[in-house]
Formats: sequence, C-alpha cells, structure tokens
Amino acid sequence: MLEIDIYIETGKKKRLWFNEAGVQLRGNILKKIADHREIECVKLDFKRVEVTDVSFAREAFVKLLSDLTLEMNRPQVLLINIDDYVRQNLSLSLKDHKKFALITNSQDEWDLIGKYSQLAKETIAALIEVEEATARELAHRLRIGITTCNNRLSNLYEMCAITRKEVGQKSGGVEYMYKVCT
Amino acid sequence: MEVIPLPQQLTEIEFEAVLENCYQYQYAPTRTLQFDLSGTEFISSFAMIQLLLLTETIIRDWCKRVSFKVGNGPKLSSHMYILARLGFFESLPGSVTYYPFRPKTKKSLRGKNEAILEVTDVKDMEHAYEVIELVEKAITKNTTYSGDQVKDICTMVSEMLQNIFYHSESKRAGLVSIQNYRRKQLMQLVIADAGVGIPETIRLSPDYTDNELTDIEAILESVKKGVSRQGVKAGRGEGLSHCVRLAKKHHAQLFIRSNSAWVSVTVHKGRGTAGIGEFFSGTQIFVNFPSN
Repeated sequence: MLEIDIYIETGKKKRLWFNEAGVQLRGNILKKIADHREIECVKLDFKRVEVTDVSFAREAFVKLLSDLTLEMNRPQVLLINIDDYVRQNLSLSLKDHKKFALITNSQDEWDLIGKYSQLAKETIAALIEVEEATARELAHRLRIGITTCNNRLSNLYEMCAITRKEVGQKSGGVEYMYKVCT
Repeated sequence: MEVIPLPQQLTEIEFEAVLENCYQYQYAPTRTLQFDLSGTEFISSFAMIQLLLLTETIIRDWCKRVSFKVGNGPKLSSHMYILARLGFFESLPGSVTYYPFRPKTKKSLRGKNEAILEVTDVKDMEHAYEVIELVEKAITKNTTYSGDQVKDICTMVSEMLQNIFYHSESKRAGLVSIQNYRRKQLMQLVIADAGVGIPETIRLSPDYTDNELTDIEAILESVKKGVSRQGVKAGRGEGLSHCVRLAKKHHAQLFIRSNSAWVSVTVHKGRGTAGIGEFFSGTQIFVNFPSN
C-alpha cells in the first residue's frame, strides 16, 4: 500500500489550480508508483485540500487513471478524505472523460464518483463483501455468467478501481484473484 | 487631435459605438486621440477595462498618442475621482496625457469604493496564484456569498486565467477586476486580455481546419466541452465550458467579447444573444453574479 498526501505533495497547497501544476503532480505520483512496483493499492489522501479546478483535476487525476491503464501491473487507486466540494469538481472531470474512481470518506464508507454503471457498483459491493474472489466465485455469488463477470471485473481493473493478482489453476491455466482495498 | 466623446453611461453596449468611432481614425493622419470623459457619469467595470486595453492598443499598435479630457475646468466631477479610486488612471500607460489634469486621490481614499477588487494586472502564472487568493479574500470580505460560491468564482477565475496564459499570446498581462453594484444587485467579475482572441485559437484546432468559422461561431464552439486548440482528442478544453456550467449554477450572465464578436448568455434562463462589432484583438469576459 502506498499512501500519497496530496497537500504535502503539492507543496502544502489547499487550493489546487492550473493544469501545469496537475501535470507535475501526476508525474510525481507516477514516479512513486514506479518506485513501488509491487504495490496493490495507491491511496491518494485529499485531507486539507479544499478546492481543485477542473483543469488541475483532469491533468492530475483523470489522466493518472489513463496513464495507469497502460501499465501491466496497475495498482488500484483509492481517493480518501475528499471534501464535498473537491468531490463535486473531481466527479465532473471524471464524468467528462467517461471515467470513474473509488473513494472512501472519513467513516470508511466507499462510493464511486464520475461516470459509472450500477452494475460496476454492484460488482464492487459484492467484491468488498467477500474480500477477494476469482471471476468464477464472484459470478456464482452475483448469479451471472462467468464471461459477464469477467468483463465487469476487467472494466473495473482498467479503471484502477480494483486490484488483482495471478493465481495458478489446477488445470495449469492462469486465473486472477480480485480484491478491493478500502 | 480628434475627440472621441464618451457617453454619460458607458457599458459593454455603448463601448461598441466608442470602438467604431475610434477605428475611423486608425489610419488617419491625426496623431492624437482624445477621449472626452467629462460628461461620463458611469463606467461599468467591463467598459473600464476595455477602455484601458483600447488605449494601450492605440498607443502600441496604432502609434498614436492618447489624451483624456476629464473635466471642463479646475473642478472635476466626483465621477472622475471615483474612477481614480478604482485605479483606472493609475492603470493607464504613462504616456497618456490629461486635460485639465490627472485626477488623483488621497491614498487614504483608495479602496473606499464599491470595487471588491480594483483593476489588477496578472503578470504570470506564479502571480496568478496570488491574484486568485486576493479574489477569494476580497469576495469573502465584501459579499455575503457562501464558501462554496466563493470557491466556484475562484474556479472560474482560475480557468479563465489559464486561457490567457496558455492561448492568448498576449502582449500584456491579463487584467482582473471585481465590482459590486448595490443598486443593480449584482457583482461583476471581469477578466480580459489583449491576445490573439478565441476565434484565432479555435481555428488552429485540427477539428475545425475544414470549417470556416465566423468569430461568433468560434466563441460558441469554445464554450462546448472538449473544444480546444489541440482538438477534441487532446482531452482538454473544459475551462470555458465549466465556467458556463458554474454561471448556470449561480444564475449568472456570461458575456464574452473576442476579436470582432460578442456573445452573451444567461444559461439558466436559456437566453442568449450575439453580435458583431469592430475588430478588437483579445478576449474580454464578464460574469454578472446576482447578489445574495
């Protein structure tokens, strides 16, 4: 688990303005992730951050998700301690780019922000309940087909909303164990 | 010397006529243009900034001198001192001359006006952080807008300032001013530059290479989500569209003048008007927020 304090990382700024500053923050976050190749989850802590404009949010966080999609071993990204106002702008930015992100509040309650489907939310809820599961196990629990479940989990993994690791199958093939860090 | 009389009330509407009047002298042999302010009793914050940018354009690009007639005798009207308190004369280029004299105000009187933020130059991105902080403090101190409303206004300032620095290629710094109009029950935020203007920027976009957009069309396109100089694929161009979204949220009127066109939208009422005028390089925007 890697925890990054956005306030500290931006030079103790409570107000996050301008896309250039967002690009810089994204670069710093990506570097830290690259330095910790084995991590499953990156927590971006928004404590003390009071405002972010949409340009900063797009460059720092929306494009971060896009950049991580290109990584083979992409960690889950979890946004924590987000104030309501920041949440609003971040959600708009994610929606504009047809992306979503997993967040938790100070009571450790999770939610999705941005553009997501109810099916995505339902799948995450089921995964949180069982802590970890393969597509087969989760499909059984959700009473859906394995292919459908696999697609849903792949989409969530693409969006860095969940994490996965390879587990060997008895038959010799590769299967993934999925989980959500909250 | 040619005299340009300024009307009793000068807002964005009357300014178009002033501009037209000035342009007839752009290539004329006359070396000095004089703005006659002596009968003017009200200048909106937006018109004040436009007049400032126009004066700079006349001096810099037309290579003419500018003079301001501020009164007819030794006693100036109180309106001239109000303009002085707003920092108007201080912001004009040093080469401007005044008749009969430049209205000055005591330092102790500066700031004692309805301006929330006097005309402020924004020199560069680093300075922009300070200006947004200034905007936030000034609005918090002088209005009853809620914390989230103030954050929204600052967000608009931030998005519009970015457009100045990234796209305008402006020969001068951007300008910001905020004015309270108690009688009209509104607060006017003005952000302006004298750069290449929105139409020129939008026409560089790969999405519009085959379209011959008019200036009005270019402004209307610029407020759409994802439209930027780099094209839709770049995933940018949300600044102005977000400003429109925030204007709608706060029931504000958004007015954009760029190059030869202007567009005014009151999104929550679904009302919009547009028009064309003289070419005036750059982008000048005002947002009228209703008072709480």
